[in-house]
Amino acid sequence: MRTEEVSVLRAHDLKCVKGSTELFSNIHFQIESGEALVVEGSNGSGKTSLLRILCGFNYPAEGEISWCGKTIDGHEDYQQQISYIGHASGVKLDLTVLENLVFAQRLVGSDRDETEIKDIIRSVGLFKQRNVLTRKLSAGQKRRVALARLQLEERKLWVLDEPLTALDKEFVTDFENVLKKHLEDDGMLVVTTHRELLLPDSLTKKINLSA
Amino acid sequence: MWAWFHKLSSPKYYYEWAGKWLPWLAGITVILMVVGLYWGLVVAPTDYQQGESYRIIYIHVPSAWMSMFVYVVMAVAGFVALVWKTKISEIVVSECAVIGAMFTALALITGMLWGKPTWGTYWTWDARLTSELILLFLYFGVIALYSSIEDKRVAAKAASMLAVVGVVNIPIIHFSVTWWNSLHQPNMDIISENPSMDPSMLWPLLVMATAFKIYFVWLLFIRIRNEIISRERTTNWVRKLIAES
Amino acid sequence: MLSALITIIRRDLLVAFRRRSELVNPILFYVIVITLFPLGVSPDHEFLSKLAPGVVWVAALLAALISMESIFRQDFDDGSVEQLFLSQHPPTLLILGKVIAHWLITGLPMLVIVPLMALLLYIPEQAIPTLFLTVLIGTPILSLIGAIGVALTAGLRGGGVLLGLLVLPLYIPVLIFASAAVSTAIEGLPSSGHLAMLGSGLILALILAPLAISASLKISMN
Repeated sequence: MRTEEVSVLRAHDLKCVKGSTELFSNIHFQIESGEALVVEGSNGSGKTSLLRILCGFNYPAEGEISWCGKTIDGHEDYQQQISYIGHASGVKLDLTVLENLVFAQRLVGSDRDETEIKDIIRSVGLFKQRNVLTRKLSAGQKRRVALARLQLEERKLWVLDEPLTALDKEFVTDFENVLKKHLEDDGMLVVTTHRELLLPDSLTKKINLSA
Repeated sequence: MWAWFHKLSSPKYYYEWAGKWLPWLAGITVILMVVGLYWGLVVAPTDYQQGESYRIIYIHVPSAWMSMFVYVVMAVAGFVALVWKTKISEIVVSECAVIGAMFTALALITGMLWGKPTWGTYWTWDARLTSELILLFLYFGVIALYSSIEDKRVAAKAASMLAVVGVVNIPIIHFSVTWWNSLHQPNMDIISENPSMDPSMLWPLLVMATAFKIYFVWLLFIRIRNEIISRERTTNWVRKLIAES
Repeated sequence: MLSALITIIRRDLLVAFRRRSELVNPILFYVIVITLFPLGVSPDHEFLSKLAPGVVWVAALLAALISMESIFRQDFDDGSVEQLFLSQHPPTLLILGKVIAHWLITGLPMLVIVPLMALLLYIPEQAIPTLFLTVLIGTPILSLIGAIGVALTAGLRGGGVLLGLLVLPLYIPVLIFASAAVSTAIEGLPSSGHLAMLGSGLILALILAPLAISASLKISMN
């Protein structure tokens, strides 16, 4: 997408402990440019924790994550490759849709002009609401603002925690196409979801934390 | 040396290592306390200005020294915990906070008791007492923060951070309080730490100070061992240990 | 670098102005606390003006404390904190921007209202410029230190009271130097020495606090 070389995200022997309970251990995986990892597992199995560890927000109790051969601990460039959408969408409720995206892209450091931003807003079906305060949107619409941000940021690694929550069916199909496009462009994806997400099998790895 | 420190940061190894030291620490503490107290309270001469009441310094001064010393130990452990994320140093932080608050409270109480016969009042806003009071607040902050966070590893990290922030601030607070004090009470007699203390009074003080230091290490080791057992209760080595006893 | 700083300041100001009703609360609190002193102690002219430097600053400490919580609360709720650490720009820079924005919202109104408070407490006119300067230099320190406390307590139940316990002892040097500066000015003596102390405190806080806030946020995100 942005770089020619192949990027590799590798997790080695991860273990996660919350309080005194062990959520998971012995987690290994590796994905390269153009590949997706779907994280499965029952409620409370540590999916969100794994995603946050991958983003460098939390530390694993044991194990190591490396990006292109270098450990991510203290490797600042790594976090600048990531777009993350958590349970909270990272959207400011007191800003309009357009303002949210304009500020987000400035903080990320990309410099698209407003027409491009508006195109992306149109693609997530919020063009009419672009000047409405995000607070007044429905849950699904708020989620769409976050997904628009994702496309705007042009980052290599997308880490998405339940991105389909509250989205309606038609939009899920659109969003699947966005994800496929991202993978075709050599992007990488780590995602958790309770709903069916159609991604090309050949490019998708799965990992189950409950197993 | 480095490898040894690394080994020591493992809870199991530390537990065994500290266990061997406990009887020694206990013995030395008791001997030094007995010697120091007898020397200070019975043998040392009576002060010509303050009479017998000065003898409380044999408790007050060592605990006041310890109140600062423990804070520094806590902050150093906190720094280590934040940078190297070692479990033992995290435990040292939370345990130091409790022990340090204890020493600080002891210093305050003995200071007040000493103040009554000396100044005729339990409390004066003198720089040393005021600093000690603020130090107690700082300890309470660390303890309160540690106990409000459920996940104990996160709690220890937050407490470490606060301890580090606190240790940067302590010199500033101390300076400002001393300065504030000189502003309001320019001519106050300072009788407490007389710079030319007679050796016959000074020696027992030094013995007591050493006793307090060893006592601190002893107490710290005991508390760390307890905390290790409670944190690691699900691991195999602790289960084995409990089964054996 | 600078543009990122300005961007985050503009964003936070915009968000704050969308919730205008919350903007005036800390300043009202400040005025009310100050009013309590003449009522609780004595409205005597001479007595009040002697007490005034302490009153103005104790009230400022409390007002800064209660307004502080809002600096990161929303960011934790809406997931913006995580985004701070994924930005192209250093998190410490963005955090500094957030503190500046927060100060503009809470500290600046205090600066505007403090001459009025000086009138209420019979602070002589000659001391008002000094009072103004102490607020100008002192309140940013309160914001910087307070933000560390908020970053550590964000997301905890009863965080407000806990915050006071953590932060108020650290505010003491500001209280001492600022109120002493005002006192000396009331006596007609030069207070530049005290102001210099406050100034160096501000520089120190500007350098160290963003690092501590960033580290604390990371801990609280766990």
